[in-house]
Amino acid sequence: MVEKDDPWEIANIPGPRRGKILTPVIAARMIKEAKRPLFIVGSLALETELNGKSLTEYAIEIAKESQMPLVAVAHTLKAFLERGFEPDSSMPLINIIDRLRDADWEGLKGAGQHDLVVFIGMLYYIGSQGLSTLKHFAPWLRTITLCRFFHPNADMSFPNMSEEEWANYLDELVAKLRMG
Amino acid sequence: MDAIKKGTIFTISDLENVRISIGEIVEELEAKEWEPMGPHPMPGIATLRNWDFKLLNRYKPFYAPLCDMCCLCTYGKCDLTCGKKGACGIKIDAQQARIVLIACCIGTAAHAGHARHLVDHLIGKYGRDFPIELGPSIDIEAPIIRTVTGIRPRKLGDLEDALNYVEVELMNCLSAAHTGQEGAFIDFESKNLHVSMVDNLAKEIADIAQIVGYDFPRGDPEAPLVEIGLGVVDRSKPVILCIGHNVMPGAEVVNYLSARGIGGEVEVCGMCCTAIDITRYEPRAKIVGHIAQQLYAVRSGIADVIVVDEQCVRTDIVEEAMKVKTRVIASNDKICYGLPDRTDDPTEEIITDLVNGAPGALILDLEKVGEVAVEVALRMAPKRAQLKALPDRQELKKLAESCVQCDECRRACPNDLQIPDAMVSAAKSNFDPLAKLYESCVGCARCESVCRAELSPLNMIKVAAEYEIKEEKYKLRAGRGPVLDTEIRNVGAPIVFGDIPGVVAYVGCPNYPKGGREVAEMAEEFIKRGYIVVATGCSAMEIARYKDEEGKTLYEKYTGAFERGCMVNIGSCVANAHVIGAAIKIAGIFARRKLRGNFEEIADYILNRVGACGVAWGAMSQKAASIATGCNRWGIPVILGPHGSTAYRRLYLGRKDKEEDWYAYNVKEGGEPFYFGPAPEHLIYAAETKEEAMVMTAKLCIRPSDNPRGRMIKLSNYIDLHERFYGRLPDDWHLFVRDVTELPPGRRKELARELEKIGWKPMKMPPGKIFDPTNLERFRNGWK
Ligand code: SF4
Ligand code: SF4
Ligand code: SF4
Repeated sequence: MVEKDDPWEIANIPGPRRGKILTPVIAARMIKEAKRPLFIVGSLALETELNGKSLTEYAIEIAKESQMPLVAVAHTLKAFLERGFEPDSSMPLINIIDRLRDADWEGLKGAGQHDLVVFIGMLYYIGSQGLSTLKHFAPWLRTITLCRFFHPNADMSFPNMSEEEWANYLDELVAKLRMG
Repeated sequence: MDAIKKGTIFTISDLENVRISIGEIVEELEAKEWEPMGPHPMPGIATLRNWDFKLLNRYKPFYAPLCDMCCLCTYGKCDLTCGKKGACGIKIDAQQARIVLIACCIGTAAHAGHARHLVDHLIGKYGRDFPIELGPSIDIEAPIIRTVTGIRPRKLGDLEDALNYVEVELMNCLSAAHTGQEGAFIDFESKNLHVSMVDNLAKEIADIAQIVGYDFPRGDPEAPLVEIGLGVVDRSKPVILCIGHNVMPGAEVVNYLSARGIGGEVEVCGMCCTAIDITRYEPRAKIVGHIAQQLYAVRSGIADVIVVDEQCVRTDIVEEAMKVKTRVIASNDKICYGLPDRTDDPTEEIITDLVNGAPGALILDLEKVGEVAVEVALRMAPKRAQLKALPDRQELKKLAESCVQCDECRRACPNDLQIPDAMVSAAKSNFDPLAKLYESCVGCARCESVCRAELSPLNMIKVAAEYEIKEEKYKLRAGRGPVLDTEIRNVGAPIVFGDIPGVVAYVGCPNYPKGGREVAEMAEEFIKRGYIVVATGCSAMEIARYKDEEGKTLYEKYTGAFERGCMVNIGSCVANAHVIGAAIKIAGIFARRKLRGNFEEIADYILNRVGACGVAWGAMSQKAASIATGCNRWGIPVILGPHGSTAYRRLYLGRKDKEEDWYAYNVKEGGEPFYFGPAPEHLIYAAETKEEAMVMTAKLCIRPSDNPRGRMIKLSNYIDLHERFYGRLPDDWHLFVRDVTELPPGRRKELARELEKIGWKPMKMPPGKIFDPTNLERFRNGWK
C-alpha cells in the first residue's frame, strides 16, 4: 500500500532532494509568516467535490482567510466568478510558473517577487513538472502543495491520503488560518 | 556522344587555357530556370544560429526537469539539483536541453531512416531518374527541400542528395550531445531547432518518395473515405494486421493478394501511420487505430498474422501475439525482436514453420513478406477460429472480487484512472465504471505490471467495453498529401491578412489526458469558426472516431479541400511536412518570396504573417518532439497537452508583459523598431485543459501582419472563446487591439469603454494601415 510520502505517481522519483510532509498546522504557519505568498488553483478544482463541497469553495475559503492573492489557472476562472469570488489573476499554469522563475518579476501585486507559493487542485503530472521548474530555477521561493497526493518536487506537500482525510486537512487549515 | 555529367571539367584541344566546368554551367542554367540561390543552402549546424537566437531571445526556453540527475557517462550519476554541476561541468538547464537534443535526434533519425529505406528501395526498383511528378496543380513539389537545401527535386536521385545532407546534419547534432561537447543551454537549443528542421526535411523526402513510388493521392481534396475503428475488421476472413509507419511491407501484402486474385478474401488492416499509408495505396484496406489501441487489438486476437515495420510498435509484440496464437513477421532491420532471420530460407519452409507454431520470423525481403503473410494468414485463420482470447463478463465479476484495493494500478496509470473504484463496482456486477475508463485509457498496460492480485485492468476494461468497441466503425478521409498550389493561391491572401483566422493543425500521438474525443471537439469548434483545420497521423485517426447525432464524422461533414472550414487529413506522420510546406508555399506563391536556400527569410515571413498553430494534444514520441521543434524554427507555434509538459521537459515561452520583447522592424515605416504586440505569444506551450488549449489556439493564430479586418476576426474568436470558457473578457485582449477599428462591430461601443477604463492608447498605425514586419535586420529598409 502507498506510504504517506511516496510519490503518488509510482515512477515520479526526481532525485536525491525530495519534499517533506506538510501538515495543516505547518501550512498555516508558513502562509502567515510569508511576506508575499501566492495561491495557485488548478483545473481539478472544477471536478473535485469533498463531502458535497467543491474544491473551488475550499480554495475561496483559504484565499479569504489567508488574504493570499489567488491565481486561477487553466479555465478555473469561471467557477470562481460563478461563486461571486474575484481571483487576483487568471493565467495558464505554465505562464505563472514562468514568471515565478524570473528573479526580476515584480509579483502579482507589483510588490516584488513572491517568497511562498501554495498549490491546490493541479493535475498531478503537470503540477509536478511546474514544481520541478521552481525547485531548480527559483531558489528564493518555497513551494507547498495542498493536494491530496504527495509531491516530491515541492518543498513540502500534504501526504497521500483518502478524500475524507483530505477534507479534514483542508478544514483544519481553514480553521487555523481563521484563528490568525 | 555520351552525356557530359555535371561537375566534369575538360579542355578543348588546341585552345590552351580554356577550361569549362559543366557543373557551374548547369548551376547557372538551373538558377535561371527556377530561382537564384539564396544565402543559406544546406545550412550547417551553426549557419542559422542568429535566427535561432532571435527566437530564443523572445521565446525563452523553460525547463521542467523530469529527472534531477544525469547518468549518461561513467562519472555519473551526477546530481544536478538546484545549481549543482555534473562532473563534466554541465548544469541542469543545459542538461535538459541536451536530453531534448537527444530526443529530437532520435525523432529525426526515425524519419530519416524511414526515408532512407523508402528512397533506396524505390531507386533500386525504378532507378535514380524516376520522375517526381505531383500533378498539374503542384509546381512547388518540395517546399522544404527547396528552401533548406536549394535542391529542386525532379527525380528520385535528387531526394537521395537531400537525404545525404539530412544524415550529415543529424550526425553532427547528435555528436554535440556527447560528454564534454556543447555546454550552453542556448546552443543546445539552437541545435535542437536545427536537427528538427532537418527532421522536417526527412519527412518531406519520405512522403514525396512514397507518393510517387506508390502512387498515393497527390493532394486530392476528395481522397476516398476509408473505414476505421476496432469494429471494422471482418473476422470471418483471414486477417493481416500491419503495425508501424512504413508502408512498404503492407503494400507488398496488397500486391501479392492482387497478383493471386484474392484481394477480397483477406482483410488487410493496419495500426498507426502504416495504416494511414496503406489506405493511401489501397483504399479497401482498413485502419484499426493507433498505438493506444494496439494492445486492445492484438489481445482481441483479431489478427492471424501481424506484420511489423518500424516506429511505435509495442516492444513486447511477439510475446503478446504468442498469447493469442498470432504469428509475427518483422520486416525491417531496425526492429528484429530477436526473431530468426529467415530472409534467405525457402518461402514454403517459412510458411510451414509459422503455421506449425513458430512465433515469428524476420524477413528482410519485402516481396517475401507479402507472400508469407498472406499464405500464413490463409492457413492459420481456420485453426484460430475458436480461439478465446479474453475472459467473459461472468468471469469479470469474479476477477474484480480479488482486487485488494492497493491503488498501485492507479498510481501507475498515466491518466490516474480510477481503476480501484471501478473494481469495487465490477465486483457488484456493475461494469459501467470499468467500461467508462476505456475512453481515457492509453492502452499502456502499466496497471497490470503492478497489480498485486495479478489482474489485468486493461483486459477487464476491454471486456467491460466490449459493446462500445464492437460499434467502433467510422469513416476517415484517406491522407491526401500536399496542399495544392492552386489552393494556396485562393487562401494565401486571406490567411496573411487574417480574413481566414488561422490554420490549425492537429498532429501527433494519442497520449491524451482525457481521451481523444477532445481532439475532435477542438477541431470542430475551429472548423465552425472558419479556420482551416488539418490533421495528421494519430490525431487524424482520433478525429475520425467520433460521430455526430446523424452518425457522421467530421470527414464526412466538412470538405477535404484546403479552404475555410475544412477538415483535411494530410496523411501520416511524415506528411506533417506538408503542413509546414503549405506555410512555405504561401510565402512562395502568394508573396513571391524566393525559396531556394532561403530559410531565414521564409521563416521570418511565416512567424510574422502565417497564422498557423499546431496542436499536439497527445504528443508522446521523440518524433513528436522533433516535429514540434521543427515547426518552431519555421515560426509556427505548437500547443501540447498536459502530458507534453511532463515528458518534453522544455517549452519556449514568450512574456507578453515585457514590451521590449515584441519589437520588430516595420519595413514600410522606414525600418524603425516597431512594437507589434505579443504575437504569437509562445512558440511551444503546454495547456492543462482542452478549454485552455482552445483559447490559446485562437490567440496563437494572431500575427503582426493581420490587417485591421483580419485582426478583428481573430480577436473576436479569441474573446468569444475566452468568454465562453472563462466567463469574461481575457485580461490581455487589449494588447492585440491596435486601433478601435479592430473591435468586433457588434460590440465596438462596449469594448471601447473597457479600453478607456484601462487607459489603452491606440498604436501608431503605419501608412495605409499596412503592417510589414520583419525580425531580420537586413530587410529593415526594404525587401531586397
Ligand atoms: S555526462 Fe556529465 S553530468 Fe552526465 S553523468 Fe557524465 S559527467 Fe555527469
Ligand atoms: S492500460 Fe489504461 S488503465 Fe491501464 S495504466 Fe494504462 S492507461 Fe491506465
Ligand atoms: S493494482 Fe490490482 S489489486 Fe491493486 S487496486 Fe489495482 S486492480 Fe486492485
